[in-house]
Amino acid sequence: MKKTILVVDDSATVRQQLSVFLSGNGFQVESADGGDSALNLCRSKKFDLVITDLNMQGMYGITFIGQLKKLPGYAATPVFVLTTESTRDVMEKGKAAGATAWNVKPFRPDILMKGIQKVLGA
Amino acid sequence: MNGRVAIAIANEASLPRVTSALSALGFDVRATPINTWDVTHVPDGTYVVAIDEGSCPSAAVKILMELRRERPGVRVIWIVQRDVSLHSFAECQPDYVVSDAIDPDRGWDDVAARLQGKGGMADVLVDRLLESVREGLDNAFGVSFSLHALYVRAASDIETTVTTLLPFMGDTCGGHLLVSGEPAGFTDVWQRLVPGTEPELWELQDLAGEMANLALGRVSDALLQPSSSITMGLPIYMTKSTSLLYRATSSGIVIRGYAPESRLSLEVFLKFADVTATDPSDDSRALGGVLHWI
Repeated sequence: MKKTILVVDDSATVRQQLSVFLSGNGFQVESADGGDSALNLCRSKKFDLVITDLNMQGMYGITFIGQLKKLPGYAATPVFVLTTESTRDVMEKGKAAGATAWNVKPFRPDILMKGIQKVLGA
Repeated sequence: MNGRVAIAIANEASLPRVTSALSALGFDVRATPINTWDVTHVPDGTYVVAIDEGSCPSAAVKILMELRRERPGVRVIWIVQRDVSLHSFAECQPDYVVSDAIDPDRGWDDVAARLQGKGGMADVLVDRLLESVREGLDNAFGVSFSLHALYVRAASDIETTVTTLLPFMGDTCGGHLLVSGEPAGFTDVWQRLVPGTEPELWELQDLAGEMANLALGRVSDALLQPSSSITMGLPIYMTKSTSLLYRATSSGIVIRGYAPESRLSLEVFLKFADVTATDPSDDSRALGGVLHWI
């Protein structure tokens, strides 16, 4: 059974780029354009990994991660942050909210895939 | 600056004004009517050449390009009556641009400050900024921009179909990034990122915004203290001609770039309250493209 990944980004470019890349590597991918719609998806379905941006219209990414972790079944779900933010201060806040790994844009396909394989065992 | 040679190139009507402005900055000025221009008029040791585009911008562009080729060490001031195209800036790369039409009384203050090493940003900081943005956009989108910085009051006339402007504000600086171009150029970039798809106009605007977003991350990396950050505003999408007017102070900077292959333009406007370089060896910011386990 395919592992499922949720991509959360308000940029259609990033959502489609990641969807094509991850689908091509054997994952089932869904996407959301913000924290609210992502939380709604996660309430109805369990994803194996969530990849999220930080600066999005509506809910800030770190707020989203904090709320995601409180949903039933999501406390241990790995969360990757994919963002242009690179300060240690923000990374610490992400870690405190429950983020697993941090990727400063742009992502390198080989490195991202190794990280995904590490947390999903895929 | 006393004793340095400056050459003023302008039409007959503007020549006295340009000569006077350069003399006031302490230069030994040699006036040259634009119709008698010859690159051999620029002797070794000339510090600066000021070109007034006047009513003949094509002649100014030709002179500037010849100077870049034949006298690469000379600093060039380009006096414009209105803003010239982004393409022309990228092609000619003047060191300073003075826009008389926008602020005739103060335009020369910025040039004087820069020539005297006051105000503005250290060259090393500007170089780091340009390299960071250039490298980031090339890595992420495969678009090679030719970038250069201007210390100016300037205006931009935007006449492209796809333009996204991303405002931002930080502890020590504020400004905006702007990426613009025609659909064909953005479509080429899009199809490199998402092969086999045909993007709609709104998706191309989104791509322009994502390019601005990535460039902003690189600006932040290059300029800000490790502990400081910038807050990004909502992207502004424009689909028709518009004009932007910047009133930078001497600590303001406009970076303009052009990617000839895809015919995309990039503009960064930065205005600083206090510019401080970060230590290049400082590793307290995360690296782009690398997955950091936290």
